[in-house]
Amino acid sequence: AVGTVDSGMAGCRRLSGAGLREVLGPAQGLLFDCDGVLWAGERAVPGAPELLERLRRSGKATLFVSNNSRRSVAELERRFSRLGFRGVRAEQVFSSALCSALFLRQRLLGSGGGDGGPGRVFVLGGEGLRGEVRDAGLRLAGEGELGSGDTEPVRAVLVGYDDQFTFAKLAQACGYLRDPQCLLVATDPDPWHPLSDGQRTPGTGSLTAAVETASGRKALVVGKPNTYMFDCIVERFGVDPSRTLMVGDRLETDILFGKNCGLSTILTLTGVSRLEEAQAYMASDSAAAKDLVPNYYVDSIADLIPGLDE
Amino acid sequence: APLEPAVRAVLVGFDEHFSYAKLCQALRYLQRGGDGCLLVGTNRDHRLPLEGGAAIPGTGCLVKAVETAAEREAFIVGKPNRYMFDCVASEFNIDPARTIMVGDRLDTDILMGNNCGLTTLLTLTGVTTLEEVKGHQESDCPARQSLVPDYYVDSIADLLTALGD
Repeated sequence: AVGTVDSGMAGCRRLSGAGLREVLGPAQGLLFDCDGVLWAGERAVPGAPELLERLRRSGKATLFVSNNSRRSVAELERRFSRLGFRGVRAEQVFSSALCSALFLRQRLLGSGGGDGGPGRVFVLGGEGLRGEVRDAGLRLAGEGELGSGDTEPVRAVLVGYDDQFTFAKLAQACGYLRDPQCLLVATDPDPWHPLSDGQRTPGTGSLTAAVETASGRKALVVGKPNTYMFDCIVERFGVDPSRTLMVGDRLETDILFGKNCGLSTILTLTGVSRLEEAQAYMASDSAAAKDLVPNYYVDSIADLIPGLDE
Repeated sequence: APLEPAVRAVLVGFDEHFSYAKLCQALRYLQRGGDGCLLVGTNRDHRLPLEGGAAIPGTGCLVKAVETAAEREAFIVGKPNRYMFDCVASEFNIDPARTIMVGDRLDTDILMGNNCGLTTLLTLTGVTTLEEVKGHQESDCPARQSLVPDYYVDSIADLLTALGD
């Protein structure tokens, strides 16, 4: 008999009861997105700190992977603590700010630099992002420079979340990008982020679109759904994708990231994406849409607690 | 800044004072208004060329930033879209078959002229070289073919000789 080919598409099933234990039991570790998953603004998601504590006691690894390029890892570590999450260490936290700095270090310093040394990085972003780039051993180009102050060439433009973005900085970035050797890198593709009052604030993706349009170049995007941040995680911790779960709130970044890295995915509904959106992707004819469907969903990550041993 | 209640359109033009704060404000109006708030861009030019091969970012960059944040497409007034031709044609009795569009850019001037059924004339005193045109002419791609003008001159001054005293 002719049967249908298994498309391998995820089923978007609610995780609860016995299913919960079946999924969590064999998992060695969980990767968590942060905004909309662990906390919303200055409020921890109720039960989230307890979940992390229970995971720790169950011997499961917990790591954090965030597209938010505003904060340095040190700031994020303090934030975890301030919001009631105990015992989260900086080494468990992978932000797009950190991973962009690691990426640039690899590309600019790794090959021994070209003629004239590794060069400088022009960063469109806040102090958290700039600090990570400096900590990676790279030098920053100043704003408002017209190329006469420092003789070391600018070898990369890094676009991150920049609430001080201006036309002048856009023009300055384009000046550097006239050199085809100058890299264009973006921390993440997010078009907007939710604020606690329900409004949206523009994300790095919208600023990157401006730089790409002006320069005629495509940016290398470090953050989810691209897999570079997973490479950073594997290099530091040696994670087995087949025993690791990805938990996130945004289908187009977190869930697609999980799919791209070979992880099973859990959508939590305390953040950006609605269940109806996941179901719409599931019903779509497009192959690309199928990759945005999570394996499982929960109303909140607190719902995972019953799946763990006492 | 608080939102003004009467705003029903966001218009993106060339803005050398463009900033994140303005982008944020635009997004808030578009979120609040939904379909009831228009998003309009004056044009999509990527770059404004300066002398010596340098360029400054064009309006298209700012339009793209707003479109990306708002996850919606702007209505573009400028060339190569036909809105401006429609404005001219409705005010003056224009017969496209007897009208010539003269411009220096293939992807705006000539494309609009071709799309509107005008005769198109490229002048070489601006950004376009003859080599570029030949490249499009020889290509198999229909989109590139529509960038090819009917005629070209080195300068619009060359048209003087065709006109009587």
